[in-house]
Amino acid sequence: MPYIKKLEKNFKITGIFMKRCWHSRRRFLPFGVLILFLFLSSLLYQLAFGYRLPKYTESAHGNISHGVNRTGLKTPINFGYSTGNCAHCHEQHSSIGGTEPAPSGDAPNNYLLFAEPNITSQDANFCFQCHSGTGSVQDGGIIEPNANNDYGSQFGGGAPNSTNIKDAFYFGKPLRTWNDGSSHNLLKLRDWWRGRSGGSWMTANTNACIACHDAHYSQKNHDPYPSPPQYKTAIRKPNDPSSEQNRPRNLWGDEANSDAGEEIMSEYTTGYQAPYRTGKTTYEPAGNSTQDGSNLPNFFAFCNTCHANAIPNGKTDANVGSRNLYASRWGMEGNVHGKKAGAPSATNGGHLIAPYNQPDAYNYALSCTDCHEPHGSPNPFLLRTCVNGKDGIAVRISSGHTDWNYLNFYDFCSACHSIAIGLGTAHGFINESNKLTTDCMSNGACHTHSAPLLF
Amino acid sequence: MPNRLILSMIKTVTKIVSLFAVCSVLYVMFFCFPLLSEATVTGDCSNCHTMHNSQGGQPMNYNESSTPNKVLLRGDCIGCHGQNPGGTQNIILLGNIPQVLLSASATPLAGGNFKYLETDDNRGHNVIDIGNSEDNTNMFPPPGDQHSSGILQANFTCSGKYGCHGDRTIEDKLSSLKGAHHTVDSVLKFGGINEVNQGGSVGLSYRFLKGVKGGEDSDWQATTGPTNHNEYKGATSMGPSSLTSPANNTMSGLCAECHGYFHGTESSNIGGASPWLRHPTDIILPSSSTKEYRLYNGGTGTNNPYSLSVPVGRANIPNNPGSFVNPGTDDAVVMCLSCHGAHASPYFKMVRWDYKGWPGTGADGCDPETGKHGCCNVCHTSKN
Repeated sequence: MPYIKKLEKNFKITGIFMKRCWHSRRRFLPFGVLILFLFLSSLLYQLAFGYRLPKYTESAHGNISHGVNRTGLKTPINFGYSTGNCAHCHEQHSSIGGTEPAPSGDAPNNYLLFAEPNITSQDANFCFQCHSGTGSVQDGGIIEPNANNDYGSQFGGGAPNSTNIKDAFYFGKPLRTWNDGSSHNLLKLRDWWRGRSGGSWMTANTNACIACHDAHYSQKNHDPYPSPPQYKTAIRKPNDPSSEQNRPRNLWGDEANSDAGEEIMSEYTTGYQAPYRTGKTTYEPAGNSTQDGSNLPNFFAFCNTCHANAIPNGKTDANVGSRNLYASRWGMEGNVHGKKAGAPSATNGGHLIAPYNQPDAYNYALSCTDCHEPHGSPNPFLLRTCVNGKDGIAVRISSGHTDWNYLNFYDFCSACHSIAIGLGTAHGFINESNKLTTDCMSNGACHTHSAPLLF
Repeated sequence: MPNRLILSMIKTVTKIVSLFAVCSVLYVMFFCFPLLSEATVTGDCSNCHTMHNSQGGQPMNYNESSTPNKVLLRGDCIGCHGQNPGGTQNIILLGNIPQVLLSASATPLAGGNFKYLETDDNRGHNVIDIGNSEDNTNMFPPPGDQHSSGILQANFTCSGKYGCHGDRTIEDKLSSLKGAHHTVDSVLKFGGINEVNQGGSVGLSYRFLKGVKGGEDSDWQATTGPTNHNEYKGATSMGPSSLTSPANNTMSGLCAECHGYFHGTESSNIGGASPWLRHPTDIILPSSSTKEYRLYNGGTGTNNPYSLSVPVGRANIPNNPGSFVNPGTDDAVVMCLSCHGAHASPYFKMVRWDYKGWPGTGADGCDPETGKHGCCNVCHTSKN
């Protein structure tokens, strides 16, 4: 009986509630409309402002003509796998046809890969099984001549300093002197990201390469660029791993008008001027007449995923020296190589040379890749050897010095700046014979990425 | 009296005619529409057995061999289940016998058609009964042979110790199946599924694979549809297999009897958790919104459509074939047969689709019959 009474009471309450709802429908109507509006807005937002989901078969690895193609699947037995097939990297059972194809001999590996994925040193890395010179297990594609050269060569037209990724990452190692060059330290890069906001996906066993690249989606980006609004790009931001909620599968630089941000350089700033390629008749990166950054990923935003922060001493490679790596400040309050206005070229501000010497344009904002290699360089600080069409640039410790504070930057800076040297000039301490600079980039000096006063 | 006698006679004749009619209907049901019957062998004994392998001086064996077979059979496994290797009839109506060796152009049954082995040895399990043995010596012992199966090129057969079907503790292939064909196996049939009573004997095991549970489609998937297919037994974790007993009574557990290193949680097997060392089986498709698997077969994560090209197992066999797959639940279990055929397939390594040719064969979609071989993407939905 109590149960029946309880049931009757519930019916009564429900009835009263529905009756009140019906009578007060005018009051509820605005809320209903609001909820409907929010729902539709969300739907339209996703449709209008979402980001493009790339496909594996559009990626560099998944391409059927130049994608992954492991030699071990062709010899001694040619199994006939299609180029771009999963099996070139993954072995479902660590065995094909009763044996493990080359490279073999080890236990089954994480992620079903044919070798362990994580890095154990600067030159031991799953990616380098293919992205290397001698010993690469890849057939075709990246091992073709000039297919995987450094950035300055690939996009700037200079002579290559490295023709594969493994070699690029070996500059500056293991001797770790300034004249050996520099490269991103993969182990330290991985550890830098671990536990950071957006980087919790990275563990001690994560391959550091996937901080910036997605093995399943990164594209071969040195083909002639397709038409906007879609582009090819090899990079993804480290806080957009494909398996996470943030922006899964979002490549950085493959589209304009993405809700992931200003992915294209021309979106980031109207002040971008592409540097010349060698020969000085065409522009980076595509080697054509496009020069407004509409065919270039917004590398500033990309690199600043990490470099918005000063990288503490010890978190970077040993040959950076005993100081922090400065944060990159590219905003209005930052550095003149970024959005901060410099002096007009008409007043000889910056002493710029072509293509930056246009009299009515002076507030240029560069891409990080205009000056820096992404992987490694024979120069310190990943500085390119080919800048603005000028090739063969060597930045070395000046003669007579052993201190990294005495790096000779004249050849490098003069790729874009006409620097008056000698007595009575702003750089009077430089002379033609040894082009010496002094302490120009260390703490408190004039030229840093974050110096607020002079540059 | 005469009238009463006549009336009585008419009644008797009517009863006899009625009985005859009922019997005729039953006869027609059992022999002319065999697909409606149980898998339990029915019909004349002489359909399968011969007393002397001789009738009118001629041998009674299906292959016309004068050598008698054990259990007075008119053929061995292939003798009955591969009666016409060039034919297209995938079920022989007389006796309702499923065929596993028939024309490559015929519609294969769920287990697959051994005929594909004529294309290449790597298309299937090269049992000696087919007469087309595996020439790649690396395939013996079987890849991943954790339990030392003893299977060699010369002894690999359909059933028994060196096969898949029957009691694998018994070496002789026919003896290992003794009684199975005559077992009333309604517990394996849809509508009467009873897992508790499955697996205890060969006859009560899914497709006579001793210890394996499941739900048997009545026509071996000669016809298929969303609710017209086998249901395979899966598990939510990989149990330890042994040489003769399938872990957790699953289909993958049976495969592990010979391919043990490809199943199980040890570091020499598949590993205990992601990142996996080999492709996992007997694991539930994850439903996490951060992973791609929830979108199995183009679904949204709830009531995704079942894929006949990439089937999943069920931890609990439903009483009727299910048309849905719900990642994250017991009805979405990855298994060996998600990717592979059992007997043979038209493709390399008896994969259900042309995995080896992808993406060169065309990237999009999974429908092998129409040339779409992107079937890894049924589960790995973002790797298209």
